[in-house]
Amino acid sequence: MRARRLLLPLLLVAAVSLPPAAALQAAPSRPVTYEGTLRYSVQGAAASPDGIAQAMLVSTISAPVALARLYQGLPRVFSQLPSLAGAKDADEFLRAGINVDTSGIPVRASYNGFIDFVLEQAADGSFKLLSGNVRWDTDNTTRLDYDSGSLEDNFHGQGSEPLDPAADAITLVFDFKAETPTFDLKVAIDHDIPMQGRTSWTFLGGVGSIWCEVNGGHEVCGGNCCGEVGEPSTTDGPPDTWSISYSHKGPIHTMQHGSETWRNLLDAQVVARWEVTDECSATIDEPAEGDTLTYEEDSPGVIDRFVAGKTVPSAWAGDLVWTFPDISGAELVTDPTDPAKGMMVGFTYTGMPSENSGFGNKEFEASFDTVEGTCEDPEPRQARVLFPRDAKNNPGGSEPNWFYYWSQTSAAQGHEANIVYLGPSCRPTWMGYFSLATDPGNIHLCESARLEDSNSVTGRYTEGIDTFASTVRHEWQHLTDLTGWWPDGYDPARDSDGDQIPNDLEESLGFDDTMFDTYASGFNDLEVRAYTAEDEWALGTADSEDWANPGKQSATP
Amino acid sequence: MSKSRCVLLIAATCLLLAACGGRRLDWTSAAATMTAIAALPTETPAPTATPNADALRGLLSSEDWQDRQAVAQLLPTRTDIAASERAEMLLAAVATEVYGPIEADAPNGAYLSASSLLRLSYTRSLGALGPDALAALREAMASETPAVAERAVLALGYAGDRSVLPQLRALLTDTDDGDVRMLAAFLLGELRDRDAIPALQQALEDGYSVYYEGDADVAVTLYPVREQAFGALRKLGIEVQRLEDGSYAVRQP
Repeated sequence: MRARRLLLPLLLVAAVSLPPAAALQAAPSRPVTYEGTLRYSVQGAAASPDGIAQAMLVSTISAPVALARLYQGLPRVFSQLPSLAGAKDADEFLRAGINVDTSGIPVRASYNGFIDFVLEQAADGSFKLLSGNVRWDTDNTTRLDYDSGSLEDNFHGQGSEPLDPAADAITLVFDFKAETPTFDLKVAIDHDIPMQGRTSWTFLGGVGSIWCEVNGGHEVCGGNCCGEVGEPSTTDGPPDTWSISYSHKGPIHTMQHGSETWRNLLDAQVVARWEVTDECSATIDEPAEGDTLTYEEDSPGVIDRFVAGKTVPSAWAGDLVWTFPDISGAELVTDPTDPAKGMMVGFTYTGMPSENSGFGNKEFEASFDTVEGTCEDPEPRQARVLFPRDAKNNPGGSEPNWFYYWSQTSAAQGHEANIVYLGPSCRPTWMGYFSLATDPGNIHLCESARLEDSNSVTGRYTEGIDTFASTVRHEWQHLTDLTGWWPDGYDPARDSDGDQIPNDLEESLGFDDTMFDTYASGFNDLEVRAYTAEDEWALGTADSEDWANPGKQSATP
Repeated sequence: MSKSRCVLLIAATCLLLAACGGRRLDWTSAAATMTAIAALPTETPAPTATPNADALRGLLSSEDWQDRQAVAQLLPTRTDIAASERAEMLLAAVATEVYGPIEADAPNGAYLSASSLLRLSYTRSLGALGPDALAALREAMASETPAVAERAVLALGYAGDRSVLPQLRALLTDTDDGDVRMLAAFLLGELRDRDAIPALQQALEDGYSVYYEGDADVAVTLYPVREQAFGALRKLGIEVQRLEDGSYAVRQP
């Protein structure tokens, strides 16, 4: 009984305390991951593993100072550890104990490492290395000439290798209990560092010399002294290894990206630059959303632009390979050419389509190359390809672009073959023209038919392709009426009021057969009929086919 | 294990799972939230602009004939602007057009000049502004500017105001403006003013003429006032005949 009395309250407490079922189900089916990069560069003493010159200079100058710093600082550094933010802070704390600057030694050595990594959440909540890759390059061109001799190193090396989670360590730990939540990033990786090059030491005024040539793990050394040449010795073994050891702790809002630079115990300059993100993302920045690409007005028409992408981590943007849409009639050239790869790639289309349908919405795509699978490719980006409305660089070349291309759309209302560009022969306020006497089979359009217009009788406002269509409608009404009413030519005997509408048709068309201008409109009845017919064109019908700039689809939203 | 112990164990497990799940979510959410906040859009798009009264007033002074014509035909629909203000804009445009006519080619098919067409558009639009503009139009009838006064009368005629019939008859016989006489004749017919018959018959010999060449390569000399008087008389039941020489004759009963 006592247990039963406890049962219900306990169940109630459990019911209130339980997270919603959806939240429990929302626990990720795959572990949470972080992705990131670390650039780690060293310039100066011991920045490269090989070389007699470097070794001599470092061992005689830098190393003793470094040892003294360690000897003096180590006992104190452990007590300071909680306040130290990482490698930089530790090095600077230790260096401060011995105020000697050995960075001036003539060592010309450098190391550049680039690590990209994926961390996976472990059972204890920290994030540990799941996979990654390190790319590196190193140089040593140290030379020291002195009175009785010289030291010279000339080594180079570069390579890449995957990280091994069993041997390499990259960890990320969060502390949300601190007053300011922090992150703690630690990197400790090794990689082979095969070098190629030669080192030499000439001494005693040239009486003696020692040299070594290195190629990976294959080393051949020799020397001579006092006229005697020593037998070269050969050593074969695995290449040297190199370690990157770095740590940084800071407020969590600085985790996404940051950098720091300092001198290490050997007074070499170190630069570390990191990016860590819980989600890799990639977007196409150029063309921008809703962007338009308009051909220039020269002939042949050219579009000369660039595409650009953005990734998080940013270092991966250079890995994007771009795919460009086809524009019929246009030749495409990219920079770089093949592959078209990089954060930013230029492209040039030369030549315009002969068909209006060759313009319009085109899709630009980008995909990751070497980090494929680690990050999702960015969403494709659409941009509208347009032609300059008033230029004449279409494949026909003799008519303006608006006339050439709009005639291929529904705005021509099926009369493309019978629409003639009249152009500069028109009066400034004319939109179009029809002559029964001189050209009964065609209508003519004027330059103004591409612009804004207000119907002189009905007042309807049109612009662009709608003005074109309305003018076609108007002039085609004349063609249909006059060729139909006067097949043998105009006959005044059948038209008492001289408005060119036959007497026997006027009443059925809503006009007075005795009135030239039935409604005192300022136009004869024939024109009133054609102006009224213009409004039969539904505004916007051809908007989706209008690829002119300026035009119905040229404005950027 | 007893039943009660099982229940307690289940409850404790559920509580523990809830706590663990919440803490697990906390580890990842903070950084992700900061990332999401940084990506929030900060700009809102601007609203689309609509020409206001000042903009339209400016377009009525445009050097482009099409702009003035478009505004004249648009104003009757712009009920967001007070009728009195729209009437004032159009009356001012009338004065501007009469005393400083625009120099432009008329649109294809017009037998009136571009300036005449504009004045005609202004007048018809004044008549289409609605009842709220009538007071402004009546006030304009007393304007010291003849062009404004005349167009106000015509506009009231377009609006169907029969109180201005005497003024319309006076315009038909007294004004020097042929376009005004033409519209006066037309409106007297539309309003079926039988008292205007004598003036309309007299207008059959009006001397105002224009030259017109149409698409059928037909060139004619038109007499707009005569023609509208002819039409008006026929609407009033008067038999009028157009003669071969273009003149008109009233058939006597």
